[in-house]
Order: sequence, then C-alpha cells, then structure tokens
Amino acid sequence: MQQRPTLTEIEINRDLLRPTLDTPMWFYGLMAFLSIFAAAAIGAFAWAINHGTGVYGLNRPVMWGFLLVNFVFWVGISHAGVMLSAILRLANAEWRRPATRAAEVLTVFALGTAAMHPLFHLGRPWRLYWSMPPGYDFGRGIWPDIRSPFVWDPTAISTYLTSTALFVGLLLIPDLAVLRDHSSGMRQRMYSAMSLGWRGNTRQWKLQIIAGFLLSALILPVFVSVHSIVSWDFAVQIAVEGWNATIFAPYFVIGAVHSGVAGVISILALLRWMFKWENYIRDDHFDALARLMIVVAVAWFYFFIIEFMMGFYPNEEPELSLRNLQLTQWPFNAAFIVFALTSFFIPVPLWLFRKVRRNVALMFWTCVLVNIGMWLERFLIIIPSLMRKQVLTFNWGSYNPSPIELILVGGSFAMVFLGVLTFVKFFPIIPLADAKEGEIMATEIRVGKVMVPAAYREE
Amino acid sequence: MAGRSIMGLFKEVDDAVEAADKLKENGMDDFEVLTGSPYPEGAFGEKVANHRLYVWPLVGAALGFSIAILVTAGTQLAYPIVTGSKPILALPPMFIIAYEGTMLGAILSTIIGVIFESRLPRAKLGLYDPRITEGYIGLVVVAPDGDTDRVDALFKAANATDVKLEPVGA
Amino acid sequence: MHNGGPHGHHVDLLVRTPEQVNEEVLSWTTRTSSKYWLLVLALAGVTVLGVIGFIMKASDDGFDSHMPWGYLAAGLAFILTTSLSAPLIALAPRFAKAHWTRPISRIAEIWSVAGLLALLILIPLLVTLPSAEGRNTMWFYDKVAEDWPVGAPHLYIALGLIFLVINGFGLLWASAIPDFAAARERTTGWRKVWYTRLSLGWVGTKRQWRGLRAGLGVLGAFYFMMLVFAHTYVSFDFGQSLVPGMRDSIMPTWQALGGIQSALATVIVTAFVIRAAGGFKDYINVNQFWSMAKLMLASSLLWMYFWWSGFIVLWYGKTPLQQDLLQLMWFGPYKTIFIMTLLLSFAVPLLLLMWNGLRKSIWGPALVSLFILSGAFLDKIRIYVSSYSVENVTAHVLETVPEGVTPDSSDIMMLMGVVSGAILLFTLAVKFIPVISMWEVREGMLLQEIRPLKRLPLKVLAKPE
Repeated sequence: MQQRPTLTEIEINRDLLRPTLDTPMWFYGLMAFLSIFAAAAIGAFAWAINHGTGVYGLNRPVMWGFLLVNFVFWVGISHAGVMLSAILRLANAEWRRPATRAAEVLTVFALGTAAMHPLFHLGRPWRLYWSMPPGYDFGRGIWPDIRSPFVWDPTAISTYLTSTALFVGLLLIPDLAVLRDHSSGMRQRMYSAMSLGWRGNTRQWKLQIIAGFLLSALILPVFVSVHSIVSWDFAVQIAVEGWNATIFAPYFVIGAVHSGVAGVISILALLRWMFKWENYIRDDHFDALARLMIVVAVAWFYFFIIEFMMGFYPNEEPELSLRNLQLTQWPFNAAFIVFALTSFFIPVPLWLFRKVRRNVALMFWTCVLVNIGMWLERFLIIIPSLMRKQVLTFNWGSYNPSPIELILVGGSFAMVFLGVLTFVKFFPIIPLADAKEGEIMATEIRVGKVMVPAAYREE
Repeated sequence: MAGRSIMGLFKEVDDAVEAADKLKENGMDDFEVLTGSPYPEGAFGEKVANHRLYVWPLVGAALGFSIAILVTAGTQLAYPIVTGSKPILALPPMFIIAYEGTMLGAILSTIIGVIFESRLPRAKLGLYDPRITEGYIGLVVVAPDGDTDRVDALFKAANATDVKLEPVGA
Repeated sequence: MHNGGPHGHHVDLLVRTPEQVNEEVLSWTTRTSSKYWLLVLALAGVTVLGVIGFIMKASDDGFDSHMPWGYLAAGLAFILTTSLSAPLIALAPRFAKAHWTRPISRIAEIWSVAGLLALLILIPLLVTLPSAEGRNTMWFYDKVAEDWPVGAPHLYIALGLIFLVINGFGLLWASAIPDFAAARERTTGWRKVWYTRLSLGWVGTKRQWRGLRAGLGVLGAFYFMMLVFAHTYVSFDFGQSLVPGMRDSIMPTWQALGGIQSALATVIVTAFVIRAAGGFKDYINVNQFWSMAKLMLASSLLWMYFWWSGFIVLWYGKTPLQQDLLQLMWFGPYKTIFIMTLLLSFAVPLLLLMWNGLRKSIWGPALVSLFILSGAFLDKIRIYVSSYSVENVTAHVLETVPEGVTPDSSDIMMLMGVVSGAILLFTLAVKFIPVISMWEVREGMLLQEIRPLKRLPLKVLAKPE
C-alpha cells in the first residue's frame, strides 16, 4: 500500500470545498456546453409533443424503443448509489469514504432522468395527471389497477428517489455547517438555514453515524426492489418471447450494480482529474473498487449465462428464433459481440492486473466500456424480443430509432452530468465528515520492521 | 440547572482531552464536546448520549404498511374489475406495494427521527465558534453556581485558545 | 455477553503467545476422550442404519426407476448446501481481508471432508437418473448435434462433483500445511509420521508463505466457482429437468444462494459446539458469531427475495403449466412443508436476527442457525421429492400434478444416515486436522491490537496489502 498522506481539517476543508467556494471558470464553460445538449433534448421533446409520438421510430409491434432502453439503463446506473454507499458502510470498508456521496448523487440524478423517459415515451405528458391521486375519477369510483406492474414501478421509483434524496440531504448537514462557517452573505444565510443549526456535539455526530448505517440498511431493500420491479415490467408478461423468465429480477439487479458501480468509478476518475483530488480519491480506492467490480462482473455473468441458456433449454421454436435474431442477424449480431466484449471479456481480464486497477485512465475507460456493453444488453433484451413478439411471421416488425430519439438519449447523458455538476457547485461531493473521520481513524501497527496501515474500528 | 454556560476552545485535541479530564475531576462530567470531525463517542471521556432512534423505523414501517394495505385493498374493493384473471383482492401485487409503503414509512420516519434525536433544527447556535469546523475542539459546560471564573481558569490552564461565556439571559 | 470496554464497545482480543496457541489447539486435537469415542460410535451406528435403509430401498424398489430415490436426492442436495458450502465462509472473508474469520476458517474448511459421503450417495443417484434422451437438460443434449455431448448429464455431474471434492480437500490441505508443520514438531508416533508427510517439509520461508497465499487464493476462487456450478447442475439434473415443461431459471441461483445461507448456519452451529467442547472460548468469541449473524440475516432476506422473484412471475403468468408448477412445487401436496420452510428459512431468522442484541450473542445466532438448517432440509425434500415424483420425464408438459410422496422407513433411515455420516466424517477429522487455523490466528494477533483513541479503548485492525 502506498504511503498515505495525512491531512488536517483545514486542508480537507480547503481542498474539498474548492469547487463550491472557489469555482474555476472552466467549470461554467463545461456546464454551458452540457446545457446545449440538454436544451437540444428539451427541444426534441417539445417537437415530439407538438407532432405526436409519430416522430419516434416506433413501429408495430416494436412499441418500446430507445427511450425505454435508456430508461432501464439510467435506472440501472442509479443502483450504484446505494449499492456502494450502503454495502460498504455496512461492511465498514475504509475505502468507501470518497465514493459514497458521489454514488448517492449519481443515483438521484440518474433516477430523476430515468423517470422522465416514460413521459417522453408517452408523448402526452400532461395525461400523467390522471394517473396521480388528484386526477383520479373519484366521482365514478375509478381507481388505478394495482395488479399492473406499471403501478408498482412508479411506486418503487418514487420511494427510491425520495429516500435517496433525503438520505443525501441528511448526511449533508455537517458539511453544510462547514460551508456556513466558511461563507458569507446570501450563501451563508442559505447554508445556515440548511444546516439546521448544527453544532457538532457528540450526540449529533453519533446520530449521523447511526443514520448512515441504519438508513443504508433500510434503503438497501428498496434498491433491490426497484430494479426487480423494473424487470417485472417485462418478466410478468407471457406474451413476449424472452421476457417471461423467473430469473429476471436478480439478473436485472446484478446487471444494474455492474453498470452502476462502473458509472461511479468513471465519475470518481473525472472528479479526480477535474479537481486534482489525488489525495482523496487515491489509487488504493480504484484498486478496491476494481476488485469489487471483478466480483460483481463474474456474478452478473453467471446470471447472464443462466438466463441465456434458458432460452435454449425448452427447445421451443419461438424462443429459438429470438435467439437466432439476437445472435446471427444484423445489426443485433454486431451489437451482441460488442456487448459481450465490452461488458465482460475486455474489462474483467484487465482488472485482474494490479497495474490496471491502479491506473486511473484505464479504470475510467474500462468502466465506460462496461456501460456501453450494459446499454446494449438492455437494447438486446427489449428490441429483438418485441420484433418477434407475434407468433406469425407476417406480424414481425423492425425498428429504427429516429433522430428525435437519438437526441433525447444523448441529452439524457448531458442532463445527468449537468445535475451532478450543479450539485458539485453548491455542495461538497466528497463528504468532508467522512474524510475527516478517515483521518482520525487511520493509524498503523508495527509488525517487525514494517508499519502496516491500520484503522481504529468502532463496533 | 442554574448557572451560565461557558465554552473553552482548543486548538490541540490533546489539550481538549486534558481539559475534559480536569472537568470531570472537578465534578463537572456533564459537558458537551463540539468537534468538526466525528470522533468516536467516548474519545473525550464524555457521557454517552442516549437516544431512541431504533423505535422510529419500526413505528414508520408499521404505519407505512397499514396505509399501503388500506389503500391497495380499498381501491380494489371500490373498483372491483377483474383483470388478467387475477382475484379482486390480489395479494401478491398488494404485497409489492405494501413493501414499498413499509420501507418508505420506515425511511421517512427514521430521517425525521435522526433530526429530532439530534435536537435539530435549532434557531440559535448558542455557544459556538466557526473555528470548530476547522479542527478546533469546543468544550461547553454549565458552570456550577455561576462560578464561571473557576472553569475559565481551568480551561486557560489547559491551553485553551479562547474562552467564551454565554450572554446573560440567553 | 460481556463487554470489554466502556460504552458497550467490545474490545476483547485473544491474549496468548504463539506457543500457547499451538499448545492449546494441538493438545485438544491430539487428545481423545472416552466421551468422544462414544459420540463416534453413536454417529457410526446411525450411519450404518442409513446403509441398511439404502439396502432395503434397493432390494424393494431397485434401480430401474428414479422415482423411489427422491429422498436420497434431497440428502445429496442437503450435503451440498451445508457441508460442501461451508468452506465458503473461510474463503469470502479471506478475499475481503477480514480478520474475524481467522479462528473459524478451519472449522469451515474441514466440512469439505463430507464430500466423500456426497460422492458415495451420487453413485445410486446417477444409476437411477433417466437419460437425457427426449427431455430438456441443461447440457444442450441433442440440440447442437445428435447424441452430443456424450455422456450428458451423468458423466458431467460425476466429474463436476469429483472435482469439487478434490478441490475442497486441496483447499483444506493447503490451508493446514503450516499447522501440520507445527504439529509435526509437537507429536510422536503415527501422528508425527503423517504430519511430517502432509506438511511437505514446510519451514515457513518467505517464498513458502507467498506460495501458500497465492495457492489459497486460486483454490478458493476455483472452489467458489465449482460450488456454484454444483448447485446449478444438481438443481437442474435432479430437480427441474425431471419436470417436463418446467422453466424456472432462478432456481439454480436461488439454490446457490441457499447454499451461502446454510453454509453460515453450518459453521455457526459447529463453531458453537467446538467452542464449548474444546474450551476455545477465548479464540471463538462473540465477534465471530456477530459477523456471521449479520451475513446470515442478509442471506435470509435474499433467500426470500429470490423465491419471490420466481413466484411472482409464475403467479402472474397464469398459464396452465405455470399453475401446475405452482401446485407441484409449492401450493399442492407440499404446501405444509413449504410454509414451514418459509417460516424457518426466512420469517423466524428475520424476526430474531433483526435485533442487534440477539445478533451480538453466541446462543442467538446458534439458535437461528438450527432453524435455518431445518428449513434448508425441508426445502431440499420439497424440491427434489416433488421433482422425482413426476413419472413421465419425456412428456412435453407436466400432464398431471402427482400426489405427494411420504417417506417410508427406508427413506427416513437413509436421511438420518446421510446427516450423521457427514457429522461423523467431520468428527473424525477434527481429531487429526487442527480445528483452529493456528497460523491464521497467530497472524491475526500480529495485525490487531487494542489501543486507546484519546480516552476510548478501541480495536485497531491492520490490513496489509
């Protein structure tokens, strides 16, 4: 392990509050650049509202296209947040410290962006009103049908979004107090109000620590349920080949963790480059995260193999024709090869090497590869299955994404990054309290002639 | 309790620990430690803060579960239409919604519970110093019988950077 | 439960010299009392009863049909999910560099000796298992090419289990080499001869230690993969693929997960017994039980989640086949067993383990483990007996839901024999292989200490690269 730098509270405040209190000019440039894409997406959506959903490339029987693929992708990314912060918190892993809040914030914005996609897809977003409690037809006693997965889905996503956002906010309080003490004027008043009068006494710190563990343990089951329910949007249907599989829920969840943790690693690499946080997001952290990725990727691959094998297991014609489409027909065969290479066969062997795990650039790019692969995975699950939805071949259809859909998909990436950057502008993305606690808890044990890095452990 | 609060501000952690020891020796073991970092409870030999946080999620979960069951059962009974050959009171979907309701109830009430048990929000900061978030340690104690001079001397003897008195009537 | 420090912080560590560790562990390993031999005798008696049960079954029903052998298949699955899964508890924390696992890792690894029993049980099961001809199997038989792959599934199941057992023995041996070397110096007679042979001339050079660590890493990773694979083919070939039309892709993963849950339960119960029997109260303390109880709570929740994930899809689909499957596996003849399983493997563990006070005790996790083991036992019976009760394995779909199969006396004797046989092998092994991994405990003492953080005594854990 490398020599660990020791940092004082003043240094931690100075380094980690830099993007907030002393924002560099390029930061605004970057935000403006991303805003162009986000604005393009809003324009495309406006166009779709004005012209109707005919502007999408949807084509019977493929009524779910890129927007739904992208929806599943962003819900998947949002899973990194709790997976990392909760599991590592509960396991008391020291290397969680710089990653937790970035992961949670990515969750919030990825999930928020994901939640917009069904609206894009509907094309008449105001009709959402009728599916919300104030719009119910109380007069005639008409209620939503809770037997539909499309009722479960918003329930789960709104629970997850509410919980994670509040969780981030609660654990932000001590850091807001630091901002309160280090800012002036308008900002100080804002941070003062938001920090709720935090003083930093033993009771408050104790409850913060307990809240971290307790809420992690409570949000973890929600996180598992969200992507499971997203998977049931597909899996409970018996009409579409390839979807009606019992393994779908855990397969989706582990796939989400795979893409999500990769997303967090990419974000951490970007943060380290942008704000020169080498002392906080250290090579050790990438090493540990990469080891976690190996485990997650192998587990995901196991589920993938089982799921894919089950396509051949019953030896039934419709299912076999779907696998045939996925594996041998253009462009799905190419997509499948790229998917297999990028999500597993390129990154995982690379991560076995310590040199790769500790190389930030390689970690960034391998994790980007994983997410390219995982996007394609969702594409391969959704589109080919719908193309072969009907038993009779004259009812088979095709799908080509329209430019509007491409702009919306591209814009969704800009929106998520814009969201994360906006957060970085106003709040510390690396939790100060956690970094400071890490400094207090870090120590060494002498074994013979070497000093082995160690940590105090509260139980 | 009668008496005024007094705060000693320490630059060095070890000085604060010494001062805390002295406070205890002088029978003032009910002091408050203000820090900018989460020191494990007991690092300054302070009293354990009691809380009932663990009750909150249980209450919230029970509440969330009950509401979810009421809503799911109620809406199905109010609008009894058979879909997908499922029974009118279809338990598995009810369970899924109730599960989310339970977790939401537990999480919301835990968050409220953490804020409440932290004795937040408070409008006035009270005895406080912005330097605490820069690594200084604050020791706040109610001086017995208003004898602030003795505590003041005690803090200063332990290398306190600064000693602050609570304004009268605050 | 006792607490070492103020504020309820639990800071007790093992205080021993390295010599004392060797002395205490080895003196227990090499000493056999009359009570011990009485236990061995009793276990051997029940195991013989199992053999008699097997002979009765074989002479009554023969090996022509798979149908009478459902309960023995459940026995194999139970051995796989308990004894053969137990070594996981030594492996996973080792990868995560956790210290708490050190005193119990050998207990977990020794369970791999029960692999011998699994191989024995496998023989009649393979003899009676229907051929892959004309039915669905996970081996792609007849799908890619005619009569290919040759020998599927029998050959591959046999090879898979043999490799798993060899891997388990290899893992146990490798991790015990330094302890055999220590035992070599402290014993005489036949023991000394064998310890010398098994320690392979270990003297503990830097190179040897590095080799040992690398070897344990590779063997451990392989064991994990082989074990998950074993859960996959056992649940397919002795379960799902005997039921025509059944398509439950979550089943193998659910069974593998159940293996983790039962492995924890197995290790907790054995650690509880060894702790009391061997006087290892300072070695195995509440920390080990607490850590495992947390994992056991998580795995119990996941167990329910995996079951539910499969159930909701089958329930929602409402096709005739799916409804028949629900009847066959869960809500038909085995309903009571299923509800019992749900209670024992999920509800009771959740309701008990959600309390930290109970998790952080020694008796609490041990008690919950007994529930979980009973749940796992019933679960295996439900899955395999119901699968084995289907007569026409080459039909296109499940034609009728068969009636429940109650165990006859030979089934009960066989199951008793399987369980006591596994315990017998373990019991014999602990008097030869040091039951506490001495070198891991000694290393743990170097890397942990109690040190005050200002006025608070805390445990300090070092994590070397």
